[in-house]
Amino acid sequence: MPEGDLQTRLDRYLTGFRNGHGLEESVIEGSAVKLVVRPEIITAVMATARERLGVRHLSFITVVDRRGSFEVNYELLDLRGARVNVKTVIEGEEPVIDTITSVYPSANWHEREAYDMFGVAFKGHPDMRRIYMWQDHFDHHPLLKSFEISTKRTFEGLR
Amino acid sequence: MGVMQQFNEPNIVTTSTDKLFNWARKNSLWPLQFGLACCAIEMMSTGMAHHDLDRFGAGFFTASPRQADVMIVSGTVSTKMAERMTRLYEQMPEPKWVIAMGACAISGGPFLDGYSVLMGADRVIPVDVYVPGCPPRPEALIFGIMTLQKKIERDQQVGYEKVQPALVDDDGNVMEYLPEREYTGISEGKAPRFEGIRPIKRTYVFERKGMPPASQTDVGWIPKEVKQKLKEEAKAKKAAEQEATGDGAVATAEKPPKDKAEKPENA
Repeated sequence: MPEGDLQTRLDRYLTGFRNGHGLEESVIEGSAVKLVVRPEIITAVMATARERLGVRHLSFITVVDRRGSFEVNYELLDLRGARVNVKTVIEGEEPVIDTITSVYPSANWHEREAYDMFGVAFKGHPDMRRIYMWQDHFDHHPLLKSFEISTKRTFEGLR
Repeated sequence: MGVMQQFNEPNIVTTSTDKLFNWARKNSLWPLQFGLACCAIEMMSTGMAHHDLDRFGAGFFTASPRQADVMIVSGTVSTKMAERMTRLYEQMPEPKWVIAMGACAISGGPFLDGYSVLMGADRVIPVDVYVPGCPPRPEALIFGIMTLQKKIERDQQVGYEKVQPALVDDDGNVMEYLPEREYTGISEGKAPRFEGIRPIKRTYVFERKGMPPASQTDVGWIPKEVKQKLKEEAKAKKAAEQEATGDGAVATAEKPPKDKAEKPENA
């Protein structure tokens, strides 16, 4: 468990990230450290968070479809009240980013979900299958803005 | 007790096997423990003391499909769940019945347009009784079970209308449930299947505006767009074959019957 009170820890995390990596933005907001990083260094940033700074828990991964670019948000908890929010922006219609399963094993399912719903491919993931939607005949990513929920239907040969 | 007092002496009851078996079946319907969504709460409430499904002999919810007689599809069936639901239905022994409980199990309900929602349980398994409501009151489910009991009373064990095992026809051939429906085996998973069941054919993706006109009643209904698409694909396939063989004369010879086939479908 990380030592010190909340503000001490937040400051320590912020300086740790700033010393280790070239960040685009880094700021403390409330009980959270907010970072914006380039997608190439995401694995290194996560390794810093877990191994050097002792932020043990990956809470969730979310994706935002910005029509042309994708934001991938990683929320980390140190289990004592401080949060670390890491944001990356991937340009392009077919986003690819490195996996962080080597750092946080629990990212396995989170990344599969992100792939299932948004089509974000995680390079190096051990098991990049769909997690919710059926694998065989469904070739959409339903949470994309380009997916028309009300009109497009897939019948798997069901009539 | 009043009834039993009449049987002080040995008695003979004359009846038909139909009536005897149907009487036994309808008064010991064991539902499968199969709750999918909020309708399951109402189903549980129906089984509890206040509404007391045991009065109808249907109060024992089996945890295994092997002992179940009736499957109450209570809730939204997602397309992925449809595979499992069909598997459970296949595992139930004959005779078996299905009650579609609630708007979702009937047609997809409020989630009709969802990307993962099956538009009605009757797209994959044959449904006997539909209980509308969102969710239906326990009284409605009890009424559905009573309706099913009436339906079972009319069953025949012998004769042409006898209950058929779902996968075997008169000649003992292994078949699909409803041949007229073009059931395509959504339950086709990794498990080994009987021989003779057709594999999954194709995937349809098409635009849909509003409710399909006859999809709820006509099980063989195919949307116009899909028909058109199938035709075009067949044409393209034939054209490709002709190009491969190099016969130009066959193409003109085959056109007239195609036009004839189009007209009745549009009408």
